[in-house]
Amino acid sequence: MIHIRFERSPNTLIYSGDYFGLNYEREWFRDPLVQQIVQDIDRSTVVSDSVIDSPVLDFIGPRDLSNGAKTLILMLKEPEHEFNGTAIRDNCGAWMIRIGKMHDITVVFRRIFRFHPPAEKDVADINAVCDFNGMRIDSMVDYMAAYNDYVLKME
Amino acid sequence: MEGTYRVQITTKRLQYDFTIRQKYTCIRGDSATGKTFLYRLLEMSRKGIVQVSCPAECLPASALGEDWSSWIQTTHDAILFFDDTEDFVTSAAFAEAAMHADNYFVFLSREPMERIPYSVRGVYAMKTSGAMHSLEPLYQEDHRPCQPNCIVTEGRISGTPFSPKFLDGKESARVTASGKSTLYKTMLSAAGKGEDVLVLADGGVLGSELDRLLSARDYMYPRMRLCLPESSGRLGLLDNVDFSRLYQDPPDGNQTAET
Repeated sequence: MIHIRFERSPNTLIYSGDYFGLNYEREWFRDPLVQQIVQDIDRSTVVSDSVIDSPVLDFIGPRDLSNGAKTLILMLKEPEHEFNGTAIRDNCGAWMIRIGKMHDITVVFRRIFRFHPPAEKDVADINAVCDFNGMRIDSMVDYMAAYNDYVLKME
Repeated sequence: MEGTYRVQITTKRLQYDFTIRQKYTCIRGDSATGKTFLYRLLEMSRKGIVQVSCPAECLPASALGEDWSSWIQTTHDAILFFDDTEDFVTSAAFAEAAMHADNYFVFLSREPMERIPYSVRGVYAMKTSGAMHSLEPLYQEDHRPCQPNCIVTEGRISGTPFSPKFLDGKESARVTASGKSTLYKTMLSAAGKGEDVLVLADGGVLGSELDRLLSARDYMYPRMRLCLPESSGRLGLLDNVDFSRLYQDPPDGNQTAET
């Protein structure tokens, strides 16, 4: 499940990209899911433990992946963190949903995160809960309802 | 500092070519579109590894160091780039320093930055086409029919030629937020009562609020409309509002707003 918060705490991992660069494990890149994240988000191919073939940057290491890919990999491998949603762009939404079904993750969003485009606002697969008010978030309509409840009570 | 500045960076594998047109610019977009790499190239340019072509000096915020406040105030005619690692950009102190600075500011961040008065026209997405990176406006004009029964305005618009003097004779159908920071909450209160809302606000400073306003329209209130003229008199993002129902003297694009 994805635990969604709308305010940071002292525990929020703000600089997930830098954290990843210092703490990733080479063996993570043998995981087919990690390889798929790298392919889907960065359009790059994991060649070996620490070598990634980028169509734009040529051969790179894990530290040169996008912040979105790094944050998703951390969600998969170290889900105990409280993640900074700013580091994740909307194109990471599908993977966040998928990882949220594997184990609990906590993400702080200080903006509206579009898990699905407006045409899919009723698609109910997000599997999240708002930690502020306990509202269940399965669709983008639910997300907006939880966010608006937070705004009306806190702003 | 005034005017537009074209920024060009060319390496063996990547090219960036874009123009900065206003004091505050936000560059957003999906992951892996080259935003962070742009920032890295600017850092490398400080070491002479990469050449940046631009009439103004382009600097990454990492060049400012710990004493960024005095650096911003003593540096002139530079374009300063900030990425997600500079958390101080959301502080009141930074907003104050930036307001008085004679520089341009480019934010490579998804943070809303409520304290920075950036225009809706100053928000761009990084567009990638192979090795070439450029900018395209994130928010486009979208003409939709509109027949509101409630207008939500923010304080800046009130009293300007763009503020409606009447709405079919129903003054009570206009709700005024105390400023841009309360605009969203005021809109929620009106839309939540089932009103067809038109949000009328100064697009010149509303960049930080637009994302959630559009999200509210896209996901919850499809009949909500946005009209965001800029205080310079230009009509900004404009839903196809029937002004003849709202004003006695419909404004034109050259009209200067009174304050």
